[in-house]
Amino acid sequence: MTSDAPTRVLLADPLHLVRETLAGALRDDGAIEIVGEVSAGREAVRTTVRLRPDVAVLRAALPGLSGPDACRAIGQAGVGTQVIIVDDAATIEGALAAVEAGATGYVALDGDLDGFVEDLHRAAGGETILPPRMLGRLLRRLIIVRRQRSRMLERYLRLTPREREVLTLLVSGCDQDTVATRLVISPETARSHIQSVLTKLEVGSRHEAVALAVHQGWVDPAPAMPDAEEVGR
Amino acid sequence: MNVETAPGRLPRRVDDVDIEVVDSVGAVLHRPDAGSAYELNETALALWELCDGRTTPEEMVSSVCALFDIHPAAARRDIDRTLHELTDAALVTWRPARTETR
Repeated sequence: MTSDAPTRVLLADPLHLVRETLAGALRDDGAIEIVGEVSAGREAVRTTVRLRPDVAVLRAALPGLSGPDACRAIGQAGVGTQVIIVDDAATIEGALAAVEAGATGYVALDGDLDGFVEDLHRAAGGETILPPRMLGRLLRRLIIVRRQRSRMLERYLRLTPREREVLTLLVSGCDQDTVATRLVISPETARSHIQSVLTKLEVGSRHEAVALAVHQGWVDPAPAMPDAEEVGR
Repeated sequence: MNVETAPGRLPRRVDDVDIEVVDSVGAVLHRPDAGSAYELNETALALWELCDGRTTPEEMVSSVCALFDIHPAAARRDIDRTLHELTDAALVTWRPARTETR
């Protein structure tokens, strides 16, 4: 983007009226070009990857894929688009979700349009945009979340390499017998490993262990599905 | 590094401060006992709010870096400077960290 080029913007909102209102305000600015308008999350990701706007303005509650999830997908695509999440009203939870998804900005729909246009220009330059008086509370929440993750990670780090393998297999859907087959150990040994995993992670069931591992990002839930032959045993 | 920001000591905001939020500026903090007032921008106000006697400057740096595109060393420098200014203004005191700070 050169200094003279307009800031290219994609708008994603399920409500036509909201898109039109925002688009009208942005067009009036003169330095902004609306390159696309979409109404759903996946469409927002696809269109952003295709058109590579400078800024994507995503409603938090997009159908199909939420604004933060779409933001995360856009970030993973590596197209360099800055994302602003627009929420019905500014909340710490909403801001935290936006920030954790990698959004540059989080604004509330009840703000004024002039302020929104200004925010968009700042976000295009990579400046973090937050509602007034939210910074302190958001920093505190980030610190609390990081403390919790750190405590959780300490639990994960207690696991031996073998127990981490077991946890990965549990996440991929293996039961005790399949874990035993996969690791070429007896079912009793597999049971012992699973019990040890539960104890060290301080959870009461395999379901909790799996949920924790996926939520904390220790294990990718997608790969390592058991062979059909093993599942059938 | 001076004694305030030395490891093992944590910043804590003082009580008895009146906060007057000023749009587009941040806030003015009044200390009635001292008859003084200090203008803080939003970032300084946010850091002052984080000074609860349990949060470490390292945690402040980490959370600021998560939010802003800023190098940790630069964030640490800015946060240290702000904490020094808050200390000089008697808006923050420093206390020894407990073993368990969480």
